[in-house]
Amino acid sequence: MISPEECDRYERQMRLFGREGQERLKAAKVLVAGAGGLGSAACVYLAAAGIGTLRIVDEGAVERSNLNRQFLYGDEDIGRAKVEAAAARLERLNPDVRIEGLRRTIAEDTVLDLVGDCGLIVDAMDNFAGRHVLNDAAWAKGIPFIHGAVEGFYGQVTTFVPGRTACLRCLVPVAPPRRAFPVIGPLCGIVGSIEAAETVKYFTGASRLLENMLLMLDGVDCVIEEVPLRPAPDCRVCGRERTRR
Amino acid sequence: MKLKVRFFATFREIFRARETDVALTGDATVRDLLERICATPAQRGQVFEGGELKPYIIILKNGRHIQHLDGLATRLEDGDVVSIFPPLAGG
Repeated sequence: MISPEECDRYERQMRLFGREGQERLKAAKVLVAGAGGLGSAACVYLAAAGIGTLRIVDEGAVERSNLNRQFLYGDEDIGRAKVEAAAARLERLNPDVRIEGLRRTIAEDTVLDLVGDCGLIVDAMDNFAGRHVLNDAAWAKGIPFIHGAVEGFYGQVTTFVPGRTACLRCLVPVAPPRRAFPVIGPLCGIVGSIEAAETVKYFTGASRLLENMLLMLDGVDCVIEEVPLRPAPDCRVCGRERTRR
Repeated sequence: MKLKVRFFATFREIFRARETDVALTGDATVRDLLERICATPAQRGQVFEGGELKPYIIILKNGRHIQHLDGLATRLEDGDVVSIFPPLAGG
């Protein structure tokens, strides 16, 4: 049940989806995979929106070079585990939200355990090997996978839903090698914020999702464009799912 | 046939266009299209490696990755929209 204090806190958004929508957010458990630039924006907006449980998984510690974009952290957090610093910050932001910070590596042999009973995965990773593992787990569990990525002045975001859309392996069949990437903070903020918005929309049913629609953000020309996506019939992850259905 | 090619991310800087219309004749393939649009060695170097497609480039024909079709041999048809971009990997 939503308390009077919660009604007060969430009044502006409950105008959009009512008490019932807010209760759905409170009952939701979301995995945010990665606590970097995308994760900072996504976690802050999801915590502020009153998602019941945020499970944040990241293996890293805060480095000075993170601070141009990872606004969950400050100078005093350098060297500290990201999930620990993030949990402390988010608990101050909204004490009603349960934060589970797990300093773990997302890999094939850990992912199903890490996803657990979460009802949605937010992709805030910085590499495609990890994203592919999460994509496969989302399909195995039958839960949405909100994909976001950034590089330089550019970003992309889309929502994959098992049984309804293409999957990440349709769009990026082979994971490129991990490497350091240039990026400005605001692009992480935009993409991570859209990922949070998709999550809120999914749980509340407030609006249509970015299903089979890749948003491409161009921070040079300041435009956002839509690229329609189609599932690949031979995709080894979602193609098999469609066959089974 | 007439095709629309859309460039995204850094490919906009390399190809100096957000999108372009391309006319091809006969039974054109994705390879024919790429040969046409890669006008400079720099553009070609972004797309090809030893005559084959560079790994990891994303080329969608009407929203479907050509790797799930016939790769560079994927046939094109009048009105197709081809989107080309590098993978954005950061987070």
